[in-house]
Amino acid sequence: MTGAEHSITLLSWTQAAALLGAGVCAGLGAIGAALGEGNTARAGAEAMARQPGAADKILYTMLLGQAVAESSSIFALVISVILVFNDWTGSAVEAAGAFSAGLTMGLGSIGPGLGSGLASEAACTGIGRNPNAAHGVRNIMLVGQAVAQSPAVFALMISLMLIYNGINGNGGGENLGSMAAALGAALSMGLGSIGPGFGAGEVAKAAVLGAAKNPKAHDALMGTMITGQAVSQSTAIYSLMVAMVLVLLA
Amino acid sequence: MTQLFASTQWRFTVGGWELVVNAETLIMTWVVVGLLLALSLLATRKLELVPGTVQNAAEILIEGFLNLSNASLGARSPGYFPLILATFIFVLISNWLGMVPFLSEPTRDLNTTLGLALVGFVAAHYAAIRAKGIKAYLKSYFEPFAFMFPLNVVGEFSKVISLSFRLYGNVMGGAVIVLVVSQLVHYWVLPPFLSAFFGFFVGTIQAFVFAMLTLTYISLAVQK
Repeated sequence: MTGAEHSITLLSWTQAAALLGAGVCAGLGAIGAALGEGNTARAGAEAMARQPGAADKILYTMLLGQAVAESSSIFALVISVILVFNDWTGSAVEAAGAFSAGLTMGLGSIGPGLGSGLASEAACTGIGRNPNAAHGVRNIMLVGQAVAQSPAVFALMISLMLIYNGINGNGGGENLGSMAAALGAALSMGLGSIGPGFGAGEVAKAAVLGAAKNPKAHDALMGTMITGQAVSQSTAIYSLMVAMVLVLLA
Repeated sequence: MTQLFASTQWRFTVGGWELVVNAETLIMTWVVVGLLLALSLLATRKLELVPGTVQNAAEILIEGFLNLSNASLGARSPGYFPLILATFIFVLISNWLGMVPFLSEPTRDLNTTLGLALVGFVAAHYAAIRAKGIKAYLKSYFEPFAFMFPLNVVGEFSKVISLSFRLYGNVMGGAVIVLVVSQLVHYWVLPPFLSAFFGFFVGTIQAFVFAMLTLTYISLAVQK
């Protein structure tokens, strides 16, 4: 081995961190939504087998539910693409922010994807049992899915803040504290959205099944579902606040 | 590949403020508007009781959305149904435009999708204030418990963000995937089929999801 000098500059560290973050983001981001959509398709097939006459209603609901459940993976894709193609200027804060952004969105899409999948799975089962209630069931499914995805939206916001933090120069200093704060924000928001996403999905699943069994209770179910989901999302709000404090003030 | 994110920008200075416009997005939006006007004129030129092809397609579209809108909004449907259908068909044609060579989707720009989401947001809140009166509307933010106020406000904003980013991510992500795969297979066989998948299939579904969610948010705001 010759004594060749290889210089690993700060810019290459930043690019390495960003690429690693993009991989983590895309990899983790595929988990929740794919499981949710798969469960939806399974429920759709079972419902069609039980009720072939309602097959087109079930197919339509299944596709709609899957498309909405995929949102959290799409957010992860967006963050990965930004991380791969962004022009970095090379600083420690940017490196930590880039990797943390990928980690945030990757972890942050697991729970909401699973939860949204639960809602659409229940919608397929419900329409299979009671095709006449299809419209009310679909309404509750859409609203429940949209609320179950809020933690993914929060994770998206934190990811974007982490990526673009270095530009404004308010990332604190080039010290270990700022880098650790970025990673801490990622863990806070990422892990903090697993539970709320899944929990909101459970609420939506029960509301959708209830609306299928008893279409007259549609309004009461919608109101209770939104309330229950909002309260269960409160822990995601706490994670969001902690993450924002870490990103902005540390 | 970084040219996906860069874009020519027109800058105007108006009274001390600098306005920056993404040129490509604006021009493509005009193309979409022109296409929609042309299609509308074509469909309504000679209205007949037994419709021709274009008029028939238009009637199917309108009837379908009218049913959805009536079921969700009931008596208020005539006021908001045109907005929902216009949103759907605008997003649909925008997403399909990407499959035409030398044209790109205006929904590839976050500005477009954010603007559309904000239109739906304003429509929903306007509908709520009109239906319930401003006192009941403000009070609804404090239900069911007073400490839920920040949660409700954050929830409203996250609706706008999720709606806009969902459409933007699907369209931009599809474009990136087609570009990356095309380069990997050296533009052999695969790109047109991928482009058709993302343009037709994903584009149609996302247009429908966008319109349906806007309708759902309006009907939610009017109900409570």
